[in-house]
Amino acid sequence: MNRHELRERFAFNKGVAPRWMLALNIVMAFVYFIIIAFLFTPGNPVLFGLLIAGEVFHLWQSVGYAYTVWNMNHQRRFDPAFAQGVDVYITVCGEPVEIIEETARAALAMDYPAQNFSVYILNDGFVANKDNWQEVEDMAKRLGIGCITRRTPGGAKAGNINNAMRQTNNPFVVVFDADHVPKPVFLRKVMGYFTDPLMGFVQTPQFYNNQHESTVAQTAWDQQALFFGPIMRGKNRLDAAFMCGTNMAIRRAAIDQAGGMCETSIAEDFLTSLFIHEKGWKSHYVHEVLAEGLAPEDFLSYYKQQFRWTRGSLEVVLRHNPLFMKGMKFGQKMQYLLSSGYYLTGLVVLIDALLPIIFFFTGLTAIKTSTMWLAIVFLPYIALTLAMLQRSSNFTYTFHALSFSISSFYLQVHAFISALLGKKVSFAVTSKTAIQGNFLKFAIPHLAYIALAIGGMVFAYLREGFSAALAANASWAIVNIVTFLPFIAAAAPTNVMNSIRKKFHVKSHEQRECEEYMPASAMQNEGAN
Amino acid sequence: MHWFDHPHATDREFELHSPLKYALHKFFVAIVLLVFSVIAFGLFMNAYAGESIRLDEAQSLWQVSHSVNGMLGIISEDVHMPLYHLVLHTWVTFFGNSVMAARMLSFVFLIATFPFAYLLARTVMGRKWALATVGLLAISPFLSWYASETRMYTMLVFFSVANQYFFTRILKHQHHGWFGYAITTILGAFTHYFFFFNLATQVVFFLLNRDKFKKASFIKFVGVAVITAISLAPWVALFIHNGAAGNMRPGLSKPSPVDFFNAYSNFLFGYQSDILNTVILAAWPLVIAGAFLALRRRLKINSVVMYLLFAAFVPVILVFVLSYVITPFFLSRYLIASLIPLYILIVWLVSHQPKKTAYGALAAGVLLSSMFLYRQAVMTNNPAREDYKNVAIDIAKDASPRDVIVMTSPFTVFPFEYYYNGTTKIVTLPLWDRGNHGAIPAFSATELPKQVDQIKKDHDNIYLVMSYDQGYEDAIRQYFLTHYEQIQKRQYSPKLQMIEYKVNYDNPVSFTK
Repeated sequence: MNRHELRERFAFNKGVAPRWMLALNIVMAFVYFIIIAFLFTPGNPVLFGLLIAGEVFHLWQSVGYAYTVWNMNHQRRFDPAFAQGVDVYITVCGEPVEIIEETARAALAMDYPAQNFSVYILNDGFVANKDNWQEVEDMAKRLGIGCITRRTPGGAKAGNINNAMRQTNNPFVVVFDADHVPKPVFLRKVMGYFTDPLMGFVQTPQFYNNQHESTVAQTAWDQQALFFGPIMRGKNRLDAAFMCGTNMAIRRAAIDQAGGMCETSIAEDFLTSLFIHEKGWKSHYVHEVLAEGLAPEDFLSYYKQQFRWTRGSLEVVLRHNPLFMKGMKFGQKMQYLLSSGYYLTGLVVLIDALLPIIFFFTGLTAIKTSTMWLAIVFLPYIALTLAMLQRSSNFTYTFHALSFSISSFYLQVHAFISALLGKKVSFAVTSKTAIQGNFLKFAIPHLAYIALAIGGMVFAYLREGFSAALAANASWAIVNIVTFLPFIAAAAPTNVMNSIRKKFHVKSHEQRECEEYMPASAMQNEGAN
Repeated sequence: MHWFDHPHATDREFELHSPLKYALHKFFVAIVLLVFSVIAFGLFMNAYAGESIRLDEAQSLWQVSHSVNGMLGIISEDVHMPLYHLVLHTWVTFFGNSVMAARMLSFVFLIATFPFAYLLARTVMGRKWALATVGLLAISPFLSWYASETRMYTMLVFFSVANQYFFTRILKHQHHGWFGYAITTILGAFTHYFFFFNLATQVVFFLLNRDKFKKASFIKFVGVAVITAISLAPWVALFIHNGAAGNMRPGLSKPSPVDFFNAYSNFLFGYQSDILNTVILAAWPLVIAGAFLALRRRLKINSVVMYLLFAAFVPVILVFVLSYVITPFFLSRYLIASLIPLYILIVWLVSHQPKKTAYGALAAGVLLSSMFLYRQAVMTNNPAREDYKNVAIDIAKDASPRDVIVMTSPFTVFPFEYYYNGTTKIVTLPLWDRGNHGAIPAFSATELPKQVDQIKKDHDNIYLVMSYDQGYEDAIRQYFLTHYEQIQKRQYSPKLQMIEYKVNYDNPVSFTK
């Protein structure tokens, strides 16, 4: 891998948004909201109320983002000679043995003073009825590492870690998912932060090295890049960086004080972080890729992973609201609320997307104003917001990532209702290999939207002819449709998409990204080599 | 793909690597630009050859018909700078003062703009896409409209784009481009007052991006500003001495957001009917889809792209705000210098899309531009059209020496007279004695009946030609409607109509003459 490729690969954690841009964005967010809420004439009161509710949410998220990324270079005390004992856990639940072995070998190869660490495979294959649980034990024996195979199920991944913690005793634990291969310097770069006696845990990015394997994997990373780039770097200064399930080091005392890894939530890492922070522990985020893992390569795995994260985060809002937690600072409370509340975006997207459809069929609008007045306040605001997003993420955020985020509205609404009703959801391990199939059922709401929008446009045209209001609403519907398209394409059967690409000689998203990845000069060098 | 075929390889890298290929490439670029010029010329000849002279054009021709000193005196009382008229004065000396010959000068400036537009585009994109930008400019409805108007707008575009190009050279290379920048600054400043908004944008950009320039740049920019100010001083003194165009400012109302977006609609789609324009403006949310699609990995906004963003938007925003706060002077044609940076930005965004999408978007752009260009050229309700030609032809056919032609905006007498070859007397309302020097008298509602009585004396019919509403057109219309019998009414272009009134009953009314 050449230097340019390396730079591009890890560009996500080098973004900086100028303070003037952030401040201006906050001002514009308020100006936009005030104009929409107080200066424009309301239309239908229900639609206006829904619109304003959505705008309040946007305002909160927008200002919250600017507040988060205001300072992304928080420095902490670090002792390179730190050498206290570490238990390294590799959590396993039926993943292919070769993937686990690669991770285990990399873990063994980590560099640490006096090699004062032990590696354990936390094998949940038996309790999860996976066929390869014994192969995993054999592999561990072959490598000379510990293998803790649970015989009593419960608590999913959190239960697996808690079980291992009862059987090991080093003062620190490091957790890797089965597919997250640590670099030799992992412990050297992470453990030194525990020199601060209040440091509860240290998290590193969850980097996907298979991002070029499929559109879904690429997009999953593009979304992660925003989170592990500016957002986590920003949370750092507020002691609000939270655990993400893998590539993390935790002080045993902190986790013990929090009551162990939380086994009652499918977002165990997030909730446990909350409890650790509540007890007054600090956290740190090292924005350097120190382990590389696998992204979900297929739509089903992606969808399940997103649903799990959404459901778990929304549970935090509904059942463990950070605002009412004692022991946390205001900044921490806001950060937890921002992160978990983000998943309410789906409700707002749904409302915004339905407004043009409602207009098509009823003629009702949320506001009665010249569409150009709306344009003059909205366009500079959205332009600045996108510029801020790109500057803070070092231009790594993509249309596909945006598309998947917005198109996840149905998933998020579904998860919200499920969390509200307290429906039980089981923990599902993200598949490490691509699952082929037709996942269009997940895009039915989007396809229905397209059908409704087209039908609605015709209906509205027949009702009132070609008016400015129709043009404006049709344009909004088209914006939504354009945004949904990559999501629908990803859900479509792989063979259908391949035949479409073949027919029209279109390269897939990941092929293009791969080609654009290297400059011509690099390609030439590659060829020469 | 060889490295120098890479879309972002610089010309210098290219030149050093293969001089022969570089020379061939330059020849190829020149040929392509020539082809685009021929296309633009074809459009100029076909679309606008028969177009009636417009008020402003007639004014330009009238102004350059004087001696140089006389012309400078007149222009210093007007709202424009003198360079275009000096060039036009020389031009008509050689090529004659026909509408076509005079318009050709504007077309020449359009063609001269192409190489600079290419070079400016080349600072942010590869050769192929820079040429595509010029191709789109060649069929731009708005540019082609002003390339066929005897006014200074394509000259303004030429100096603005050249100036923007030299500014980007300074930005990129620090030591290069200063001479060209100074020359184009001075000449641009002498072309149109709105060139100063181009300079103001550069000042804003410089202040916000000081770290992108060498320290010595500040002194050099100040030097250029001082030289420009010294060059302008005599003209400014004359301008102030002659009343600072106190009576000549166009009567405009405060701009609204519609006007703001209309400027960009004009830049991209030219002059379209009100209905189509309304639909285009209402479709503004599509810009958001474009912005979303522009979210691509590594699509960084470097300093030159940032400057182009400034050049495309800051002048329009500045003029809009000042028009709102101080005095209204918001007209899209005055802001034409922002058009080329806007086109470059759009093509730059398109060029970063996947190949098929980018080519598809380019093809759609060519198709849309051609379609709007065609509509602009052929539709009678083009809001910028002023069909003095046909109104003059019709009145010459209909009116007799016993009738009188009344122009409700006194200065519209110039384009009308350009085509009118009849024998009917022509007067203006308010009454204006063109033999006397001095400003056009102001309209007075109390004087109106007296002036109309004076005009109708000894005449059977009045051919009232109404255009260029100066704020009193409705008062005149109402007066005639309530006092005289309307015989016929014809609309020639959106703001130009002719209404015939019977004002004297000594002779019977005749509908056929």
